[in-house]
Amino acid sequence: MVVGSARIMNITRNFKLKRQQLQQCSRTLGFGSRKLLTVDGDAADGARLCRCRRFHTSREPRASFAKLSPQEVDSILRANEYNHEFSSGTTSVKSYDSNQLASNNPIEDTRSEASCLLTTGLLVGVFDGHGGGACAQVIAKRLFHYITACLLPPDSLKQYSASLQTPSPLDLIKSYNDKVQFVDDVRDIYRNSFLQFLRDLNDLNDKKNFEMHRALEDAFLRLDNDLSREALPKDDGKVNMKTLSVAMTGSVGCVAHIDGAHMHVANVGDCNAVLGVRTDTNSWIAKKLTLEHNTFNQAEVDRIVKEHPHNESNTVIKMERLLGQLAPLRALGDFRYKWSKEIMSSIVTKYFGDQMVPPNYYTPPYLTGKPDVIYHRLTPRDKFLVLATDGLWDIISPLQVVRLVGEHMSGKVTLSPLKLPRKNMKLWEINEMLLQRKEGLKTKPKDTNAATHLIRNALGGTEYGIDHGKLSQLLSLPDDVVRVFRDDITITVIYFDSEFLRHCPV
Amino acid sequence: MFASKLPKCHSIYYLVVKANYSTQHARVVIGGAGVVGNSVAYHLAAKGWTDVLVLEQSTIGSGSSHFGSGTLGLFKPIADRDLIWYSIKLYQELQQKGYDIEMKRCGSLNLAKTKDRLIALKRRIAYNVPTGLQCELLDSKAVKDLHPYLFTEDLEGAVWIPDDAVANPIKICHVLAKLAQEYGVRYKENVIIKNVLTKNQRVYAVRTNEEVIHCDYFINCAGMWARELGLQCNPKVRIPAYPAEHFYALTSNLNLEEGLPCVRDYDSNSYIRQSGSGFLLGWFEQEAKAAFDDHPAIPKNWRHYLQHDWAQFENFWKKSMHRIPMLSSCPQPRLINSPDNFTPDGRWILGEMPSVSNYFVACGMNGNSLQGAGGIGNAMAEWIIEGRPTKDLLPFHVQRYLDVHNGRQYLQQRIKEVVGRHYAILYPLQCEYKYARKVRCSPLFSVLETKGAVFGIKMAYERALYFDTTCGDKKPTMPPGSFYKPQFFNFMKEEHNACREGVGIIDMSSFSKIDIKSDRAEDVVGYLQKLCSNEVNIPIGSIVHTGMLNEHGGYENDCMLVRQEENSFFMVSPTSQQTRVYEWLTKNLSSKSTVALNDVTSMYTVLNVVGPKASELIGELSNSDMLLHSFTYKKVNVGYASDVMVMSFTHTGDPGYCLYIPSEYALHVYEKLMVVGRDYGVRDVGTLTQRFMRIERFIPFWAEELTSFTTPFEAGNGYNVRLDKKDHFIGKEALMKQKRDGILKQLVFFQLNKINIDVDIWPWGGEPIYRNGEFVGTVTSAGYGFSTNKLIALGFLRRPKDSQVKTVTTDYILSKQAKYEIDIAGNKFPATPYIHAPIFATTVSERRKYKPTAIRSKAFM
Repeated sequence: MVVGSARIMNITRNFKLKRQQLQQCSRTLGFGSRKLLTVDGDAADGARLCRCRRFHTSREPRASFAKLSPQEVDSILRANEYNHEFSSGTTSVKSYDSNQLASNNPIEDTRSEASCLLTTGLLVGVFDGHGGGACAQVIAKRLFHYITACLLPPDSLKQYSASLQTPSPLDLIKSYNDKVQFVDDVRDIYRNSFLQFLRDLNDLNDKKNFEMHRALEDAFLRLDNDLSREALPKDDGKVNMKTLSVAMTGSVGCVAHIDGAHMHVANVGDCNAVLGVRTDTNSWIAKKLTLEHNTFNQAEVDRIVKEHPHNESNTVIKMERLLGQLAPLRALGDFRYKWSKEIMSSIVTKYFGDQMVPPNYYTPPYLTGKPDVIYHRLTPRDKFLVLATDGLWDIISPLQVVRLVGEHMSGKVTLSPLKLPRKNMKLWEINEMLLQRKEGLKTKPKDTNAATHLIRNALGGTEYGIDHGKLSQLLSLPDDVVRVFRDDITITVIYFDSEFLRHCPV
Repeated sequence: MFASKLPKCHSIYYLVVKANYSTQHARVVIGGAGVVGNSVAYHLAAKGWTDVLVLEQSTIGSGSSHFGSGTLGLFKPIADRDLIWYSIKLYQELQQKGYDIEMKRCGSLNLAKTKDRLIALKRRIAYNVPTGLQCELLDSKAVKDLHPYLFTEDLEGAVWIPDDAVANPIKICHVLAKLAQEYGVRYKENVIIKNVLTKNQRVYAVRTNEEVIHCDYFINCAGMWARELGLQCNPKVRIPAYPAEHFYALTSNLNLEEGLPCVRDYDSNSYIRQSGSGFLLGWFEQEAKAAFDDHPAIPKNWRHYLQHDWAQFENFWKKSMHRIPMLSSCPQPRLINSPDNFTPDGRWILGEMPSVSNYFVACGMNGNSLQGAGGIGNAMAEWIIEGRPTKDLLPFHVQRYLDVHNGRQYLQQRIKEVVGRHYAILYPLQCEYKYARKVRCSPLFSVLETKGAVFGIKMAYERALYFDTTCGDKKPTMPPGSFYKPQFFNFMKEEHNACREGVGIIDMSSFSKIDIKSDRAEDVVGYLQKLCSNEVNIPIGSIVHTGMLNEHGGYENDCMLVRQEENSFFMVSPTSQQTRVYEWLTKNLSSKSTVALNDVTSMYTVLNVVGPKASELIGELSNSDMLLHSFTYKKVNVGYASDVMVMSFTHTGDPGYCLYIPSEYALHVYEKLMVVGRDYGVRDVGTLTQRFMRIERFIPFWAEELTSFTTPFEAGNGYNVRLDKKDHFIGKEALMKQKRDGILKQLVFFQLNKINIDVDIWPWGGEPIYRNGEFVGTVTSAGYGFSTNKLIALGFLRRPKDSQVKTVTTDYILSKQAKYEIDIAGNKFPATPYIHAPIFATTVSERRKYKPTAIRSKAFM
């Protein structure tokens, strides 16, 4: 926790000024994440209302650090819960639980889940934006279309493209829990980009053999490329400030595509996908599928250093960040680390000022949106997959996460091995603790949603169970402090149907 | 051939020549002057081997040859029929030469009282007709016309075999002895053979109660005494044949007119022939009695001890009266107890002993010695003279047995049901024995039994045929047999699904396993190079599939060789080869060789772990990377057990492994596979399912496709022949010649069309194959192709009989003009030929690579 939050805190400090400026700039220009999207439906309004009331209680005048009631804690934790069950026996995914807890205001994480409609399979993703939530929001809305288009066999692709010209176009995906829409003008821009992509795919498709790794890479890179193109001035030299501001923010993300026993995980940045595996002796194993793209990943550091001239080796990664600024070493958007020096001076400097150009910016691009693609063939031992942004992984380990979800599945609390909280404890103190712990083991998990269970335990977990005081304190921190203690958290837990996997052909 | 050589006949009565010259040496000594021994002696002499001495403990024909029904029936499986056919022709010649052997070509009626019996008979007609036997299917009216005394109203039909005959067994026995003597064969009666003496595992003399007679060959034709005589040899030889009481009855004179055909009333377990102007009735009762079971040995004065128990025959007598109503008014007939030798599988015992060279046997006539004697005498004479059988006698080969088959108690139990099986409907793959079971069992037997295994035996080894998963706590039994879709077919389908989608576990512990090693690596490699058609000098840890061939290029063994060390190989051969292949290996080992052989069959439990998920399952259990290259092996821990040999091949060609588990770990490994395997879709799989899967992969079987008369090129196994290998191997010249000149037969895979698997009779093997209406071959094995949902069959294809061209080519087989049909019990079904198994898409590379599956949207249509 200390390491993680320190890192985030640093970023926050580094970017604090810039981000405030950017936000200010966005506001003055009349765009920004909220303006980019419209929220539809009463439920979503309710959710937003609820978010204002609950999440940001600290802004309202009240006694500072007053404890929340258990009911208040529950409603904060559960405000963004989502659950979906799939009809049994038809797919390897039984259901999923998802939840988010904001730290930033507004939250910079996004998530997205959708069934592919023209091919078999389910897509689930979590996205962690930085420098604002715009890029993450755009990606969450657009990326699955790009992926599904790449998955379409040539025939289906032609038929799909053709259907777009008809009054009843086909849908590529069926999204769950999607409550936002792009505002009209950006929607048209995005639609045109996508149509162009389809045309390009059609031209290309006949010639290549399908390769899942490449399909996912192509989808990520193409969307990233489109984000860049949309931000740059058109032939008439006009700049669209909405798309340009999206390009100034960035996002990491982790997307799983699950089709029967085949699971592919595409990961850019520092989100993680962890598989919960139950052994034949009923113990839990956490299988971490992804490797974060940050400075802890030596291969990644080596890659970047190698891509730039030797004399940059001390500046390209500095203070554990890309060019001393960006913690994730890969991301979508963030064109301030990708565009050529010419574009930087003609566009970025012009609209946002010099300070937006990173120091030591000599040989761009420094950043890529290319994902790692991991293939895993699901077995009946694989019980669930946890996709989460670093807000979760900063606080608890993959094994703890898997154990927590495992105990949530079995409806039984199993605490982590006991660690004494301080030195020189008296024996009676330890005994007290053990008794309390024993009592805690009797309680059933409070939440029906495993993601909520994870957040609750991540924030409120102690050696002897959930501590309401700790939880309430962490949930009632004022806006300007909260980011020091916890980042945005987004979690999606996908449950697999063991019976289906047992019988599904390879 | 024999006709021209027959000496002229004067009288059938003759005197045994009391030879004055020494009997202390003979090239061949024959033990027993029954009809078989006399026939062997006669044929040897007729072919020029006249230095033959026949020793008889009593007088010529005084054993069970004395009696017998005298019927000669041709309506049999081909291998049996061809020898009997020779007998009939021989006896006809004798008759024509003027010997009075009371032979009558009266024909036979083979009755079917049930629908299944009729199918069984029709299946026999199907393969007998194109191979030359005249058979006619009659309705009950036509039966009545041929045999007016029969009650025929309850018959489904009958088969008329005009060439069948009757003759007098004892007279033929004497004629053959006389003719043999005229060629110079010596007979010595009232001589007891005490020992057969051997040196270096080779016969050199016979010790009688009088003297020691030196000889090159000994032939045991001692009938009921053959088994005991076999034990009088050092080392002992096994001849598992034991007499059962066998009855027939003679009626008084019933004033019958001449020329009534023989009747086989299978469903009443009886046969009826005319004898003079009365009837002779005999029975193959369902449960017979072992003879002389209260004697320590078969008595010499055996007739003295025979009992006639009318009560035992009450039921049969009733059935006979039902068939021939006039019998009810017949005065009490004379009941004759004529014990005869029966064998554990009801087939003759012929050939050279394993472990003692030049010790031959011909016995086990299973109730009718006359019928086989002529053909067997000829086949044995040729076998001895040529040094190998001249026709395929694999079904009768004495080397099909183990010591366990030769136990007296075992035999007494087993032959009880062998007698009746001669007239039972033997449903293919579904006619297991009831008695003398659970003799050789896998360590997993009891566990598999609780899991619903229905067992069958091979080499007395209990093997799970399929698993009835619905029977709960009860032990399942095999449902009544069928020529149609088996009742247990759905279990097989589930088992197949496990093998194709998850993991199937097959207990194959019955496989013969032999360790072959030497201190000197080059000795063992050189030895195996000579025996094997494939390159065997493979890297340590590799496995090679190879044939072991005879000089004519025919198979003597089909095996996997695993190189464990530089100087040590582990050989896995088919179950039924355990005795025979050891003999073949020994025979080809020079006495000075440093190579040592060790039969380790019982040391290992063998589990085939078959299916696409086998690799992950074994990987999890062994904690190691199980991406073994195919045809390699690794010793690993599985579960908590150590030293499990994991071999990367399966007998069905599917992905998976063979686990060779030291038997004490078998239960542990099996349980681990089952518990952990649950998540991989594990299921027990029986050998019947595996058999079908093999056929579908076009993998030929030992003894069905692969025999001493089949070469690798003919069987489509050319890929494991290395004509270019440095070392010479047995059979190489024959194969090179075949490669040059072409082959006369080729194994072809057929898919049957327009056949309804739920309604029609299935092919099971033995069905004739027609090409544009001409008979070109016979189905050797058949089954159901689970992947294609079609009935499938393998069979050797030749040119039609009177074709000028004899060689078979791909063009000939796959010619567009060729229309194939397979005759199943009288109905011809079109069939498509393949010279490679039709491929179904389950190769590993395809599986590993993910491809999205398009969903057909309604809008698309």
